[in-house]
Amino acid sequence: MPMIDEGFLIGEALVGEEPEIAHIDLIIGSKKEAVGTAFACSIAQPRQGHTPILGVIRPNLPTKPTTLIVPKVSIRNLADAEKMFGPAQSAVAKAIADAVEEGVIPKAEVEELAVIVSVFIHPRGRDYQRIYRYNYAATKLALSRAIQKFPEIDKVLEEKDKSIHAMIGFKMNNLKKPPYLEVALDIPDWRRVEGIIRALPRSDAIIIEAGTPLIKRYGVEVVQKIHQLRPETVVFADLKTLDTGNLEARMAGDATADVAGFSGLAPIGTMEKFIEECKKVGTLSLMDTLNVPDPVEVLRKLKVKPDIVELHRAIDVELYQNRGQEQESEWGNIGEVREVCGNDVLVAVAGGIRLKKVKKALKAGADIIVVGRAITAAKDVTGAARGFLQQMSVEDVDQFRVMTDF
Amino acid sequence: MVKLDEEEDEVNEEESVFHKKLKIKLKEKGKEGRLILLKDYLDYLIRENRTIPPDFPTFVREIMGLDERGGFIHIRIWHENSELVDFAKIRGYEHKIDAYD
Repeated sequence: MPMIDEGFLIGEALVGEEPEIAHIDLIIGSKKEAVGTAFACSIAQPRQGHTPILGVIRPNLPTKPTTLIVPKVSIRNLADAEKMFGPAQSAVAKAIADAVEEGVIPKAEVEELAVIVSVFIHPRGRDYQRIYRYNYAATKLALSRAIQKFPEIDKVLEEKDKSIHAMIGFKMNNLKKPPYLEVALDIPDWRRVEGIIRALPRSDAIIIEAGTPLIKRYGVEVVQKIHQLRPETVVFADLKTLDTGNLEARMAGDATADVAGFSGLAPIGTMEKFIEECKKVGTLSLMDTLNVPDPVEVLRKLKVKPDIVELHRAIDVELYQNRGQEQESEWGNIGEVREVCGNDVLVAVAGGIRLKKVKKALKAGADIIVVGRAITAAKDVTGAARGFLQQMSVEDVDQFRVMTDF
Repeated sequence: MVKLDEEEDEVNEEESVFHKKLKIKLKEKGKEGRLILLKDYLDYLIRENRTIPPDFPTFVREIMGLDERGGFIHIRIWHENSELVDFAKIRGYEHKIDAYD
């Protein structure tokens, strides 16, 4: 039985350090099928700067299975060409031949198979030793991964929300590990907001809310500036959208918001468009229940459910209550929200939360504790935020998680 | 319904919201010095690949309207590592940071 029944296998690997870092994308399959066709088309139709070349161990000694090397970065001059024709070409060819010797590719099948390897060499890479070694290792790793069909889908699903892409420089946080502390920046003064952001502890458990007054003063672009200061932090654009749901969700997504919020008072169609647009642009949607008489009833009517439901008490109501004219704070029924939206929904509670209330809110089932002035108006912003994180028993263990080989 | 009705620990906003002053010396006196500062700041933001601060239009008005004290203008900031301090350091402006009086 042949190693590859039909179609082709795909492998990828990143090895080494910049600027010589090697990134290999590879496909291996039968010459009689798609890989063979791609191989022949590619070699017959070279493109400027991306001329495919055969993998040769040395001139006049092509490797087996026959291998085509395609440069990912445009070759602009002779220096670039020499790196590809010299160390990279030889490294890839040697790695393929060694894989045959080691039994990774069955020797009996080498004439049936073809390999296409896409090679990245940074124009600033100069060290031929490193280019050779990194490309050799990356090709071997990509090939063995292709043959093992790495990764299994369960591994992808497990890792997708906690991995860091080495070339991004920050981690996408999909809010899969509650509880979170959302710091609401309702102050419409950028320099003060900047000061607060710089003073906040760097924790994966913190969400920064660009509050409605802040957005109204500066526009949703303020989210981008917050991300410049804290690229790793989830930023929530509290738009409280009431109309043009898809348009406003798209604006938030374009401004790099990780979460965008609409009002639960909006027409059902607006809310659904908002949620659907958020899904398209990769932003989480949040329904704000401020002044909504029966949030659960609204949620029931929605064909698509938001990712987060914020049970919200208004700032004006808080002030009223703080004057002693009302004694109770009501956040709504978290259990019922989950019943309607499913267990994956995150529930945030907002409005006048102080340290003493945190444990009670968590016990009630809250995933996100929204805190405003108790942190932003504190003399010691860092200490106040740490106090809340401690009350939430949040440990920050994941921030420097680096994924290497599995 | 979940009721969270514990006593609030009050935050006295007037007391707690304090800020600092970035005292920055203009490279020339008067309007010219302010224009140079603003041009320098914009140049710094663009060359350092920083997003333009959302309050930039307000900031321009503020800088043009601030009093000059012994060649310095006093800008309100809330953190000693703010972008403006970074700018003053990198672009060689004589500066100091004081608590607000």
